[in-house]
Parts: sequence; C-alpha cells; structure tokens
Amino acid sequence: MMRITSFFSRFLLAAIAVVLAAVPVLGLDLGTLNLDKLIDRASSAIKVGETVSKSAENFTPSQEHYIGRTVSAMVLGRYRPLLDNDATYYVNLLGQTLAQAADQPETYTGYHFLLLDTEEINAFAAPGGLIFVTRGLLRCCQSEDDLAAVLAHEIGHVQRKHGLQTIKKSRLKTAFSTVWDESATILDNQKLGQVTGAFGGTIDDITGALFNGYSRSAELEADQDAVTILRRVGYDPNGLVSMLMIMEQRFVGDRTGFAKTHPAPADRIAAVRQVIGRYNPVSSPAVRQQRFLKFVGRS
Amino acid sequence: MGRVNRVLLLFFFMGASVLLSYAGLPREMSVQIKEGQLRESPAFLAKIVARLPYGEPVEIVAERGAWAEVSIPQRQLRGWLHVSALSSEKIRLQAGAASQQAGASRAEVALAGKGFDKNVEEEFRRLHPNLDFQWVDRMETFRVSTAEMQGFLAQGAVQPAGGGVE
Repeated sequence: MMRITSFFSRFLLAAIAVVLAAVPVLGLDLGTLNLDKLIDRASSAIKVGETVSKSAENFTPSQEHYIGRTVSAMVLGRYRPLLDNDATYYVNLLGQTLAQAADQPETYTGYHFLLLDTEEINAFAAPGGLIFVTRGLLRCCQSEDDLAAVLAHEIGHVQRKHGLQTIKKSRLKTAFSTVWDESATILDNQKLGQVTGAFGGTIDDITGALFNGYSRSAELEADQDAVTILRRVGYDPNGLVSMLMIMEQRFVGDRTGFAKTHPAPADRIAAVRQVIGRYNPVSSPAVRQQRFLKFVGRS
Repeated sequence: MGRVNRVLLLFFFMGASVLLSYAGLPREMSVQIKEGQLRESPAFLAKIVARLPYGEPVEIVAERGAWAEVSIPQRQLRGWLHVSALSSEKIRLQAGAASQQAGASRAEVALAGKGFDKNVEEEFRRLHPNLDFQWVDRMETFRVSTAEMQGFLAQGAVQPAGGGVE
C-alpha cells in the first residue's frame, strides 16, 4: 500500500511538472506563482534532448536553401533549361499557386519552377523548393489538372524533406556540431574546410537519390500530398491518375531513367485510387484547357 | 485509497493532455524565412499587409490551424503568418542590423555560425569552378504575386475549396 502510494505521488509530481511546463506555451498568467526556474529547467532539458538526436528535420530553412541551390546547380549541370519565358511564367504561376496551399507553403525563398529541355520523363525537387520538370514529363500531361498533379507531387517531396532524409548521419553530425564564434562573421579556414566537406557529401547523397529515384514510400507520400494540394486549390485529383496512365504507356519497354528508378505507375495509381476512389477522366473548363494547350504548344 | 488516487490521476492526466494538445506555439517566435508574408486573414491567398524580414521577432496572439495571428507592437503591425515561416528559436542579427530594414546582406550575415551557409556555398564553388549557378540565381527571381495567383485561378475557373483555411 505504501509503495503504491509513493508510486502514485511520484506520478502526480510528474504530472504537475508536465502541466507547469505547458504554462508558458499556453500563455497563461499564473501571477503569484514563481515558476520561472522550474520551467527554465524543463525547457533546457528539452533542448539537450534535441541536440542529441539531430536529423534532417533540424536544418533551418536557410540551410535547406543553400543545400537546394547547389543540388539545383548539379541538376542544371546535367540538363539544359528550356528557354521560353512564357512557358516558364506559366509553370511558375501554376506551381507557386499550388505551393501556397501546401502544408509547408513557406520555404526560405519560396518555390520556383523550371522546365528542362529533354525528352526524358523525369522531375527533380531540390530541398527548399527549386523544382525541375522535363519536357518529356510534360508530354504525359493532357490538361492543366494533370500538370498541377506533377508539380504538387514535387512540392510534396520538398515539404516532406525527402531529399534531406537521404543525407548520411555522419555529415549531419559535422553540419550541426561545427559552430564557430558567433561574433566572427568569417569562419576560420579549418572549420570552413570541415563544413564544406560535409556539404559536398550532403550534395552527393541528395543528388544520388534524386538521379536514382526516391523510395517507393516517398513516392506514394508525395502522391498523397499532391491529392491534398489539388483538392485545396480546386484542381481535379484525377489529373494525377490520368498523368500516371499516360506515363505507364510511355514506359512500355523503357527501363531507363525515370522508369527504372521509380515505382511502376500502376502501383502508384492503385494507391491514389484508395484515396480518391473510382477514376473519372478529367474534364477541364474550356478556358483552362485552352491556356494549357497554348503552353504545351510552346514548350 | 488506491482507487481514489487512480481516478484522480486519470482526471489529472486527461486534463493535462487536453491542455497540452491545445498548447501549440510559444508566445514569442521569429521569422525564419527571407521574407515573411503577413496576411490579412488565415488563408493562403489572403491579402498581404506587410513583409517581415528574416529574424523579425513576433508575438503570437492566436492560432487557427497552421496559421498564427501575430503582432509586432513596435511597428503596430498585426496579421497572420503561416507557421512554416516561424521558428521558436530567437534569431540574432549582427549588432547594428536593425531587423526592420535587414537587407539581404545583413540577413545573410546573421546566418553565419551555424552549419551550411553562404560562406560554405562560396567555398564549395571555389573548389568546383565548373558548377554554374546562373540559372539557379535566375530561378530564385521567378516570383508570382498573390494578385497574379488569384487572377490565374479565376481566369482558369479554378475554385479553391474552403478559402484555404487550413
């Protein structure tokens, strides 16, 4: 009996501590109670816990931005951009509008889109929101709703940090543990060398995954996000299925590039159908279809 | 005695978990993106009433879904920010950099001291001189305004569901 009571009282104390820790978060004013010390201790304990398990989630938006810039430079080292201002504007109008409705609409400098001048069917999303879609993938889209699905899928990869998750743990350790004198604006050379080494490794990890394909589960997650985003903005999520159906036809006999590295479109269609139900062909309003065809004609 | 204790505890934990699940954001946060868009209402295409620089401290007034109503008393500003624009960390700008007018270079300076930053990119580029950032820089200039987005949706007869309050 005694033992049980003390067990419970310990729990009671723990529970009180939990509630007290919630006080500042709730913005409650307990006035006369002096809880600052207790709360400080609780929150510093949380911070220590955080530093122990650094992961891809711990990159700040600005760090993610710098990773994404170099990853993008790598993508552009392999593919040429499509030089067409009107097509670029259209894909950014559509893509940035969709991104606003994502769970993570804000990244350090926002989402930006570029078409790549290649027949290869592929798309790349760099951390922070720099997104590339090939002309070949564009050819799998028959409506603005289909293209919206492609862009929303890539936005899904960004907000789920699928790129960052491919970074090896050892590099994270260097990235997060190398901190220099905060008053110095220029790092000393040795530390700069260490961090730059980890940075280069990070870029290799991400581009490796980008060019060889994310896991099946990452692709399915990005598809789920695409459906959510399309619905919020007012596009037909069937666009994702119709695009995948065309992709499937184009992939027949092709086991290179995207076809080799991504889960089979049929597999993705089955997963999407579990969310949206029976497939109904997309029927875009005439004005929307017209501007889409004009865009495709240019690109 | 044990049973009473247990019932009391059950209530206590239920109460605590309700409180905790309600407890979202800390009271003070900072803008963690280059330019925070302060909106009139908690909706993704709502009018932008002000732009907040990187590091700007804000007070959380209210929450709705993924949106936080914030106030910046010194500048008499109030509006809604998406939580993805906010950090619970205090972002310290370099001495002398007024957060109100922290230009790009000053904001960049404030990033120094933690992992991958502009210095690291520059060093990486020095080691890889063939890597071309021209298009990356250009891409980052592609920006569509809220008005253009609204016009685009209206012109294409696209109707957002529920006004985007998520």
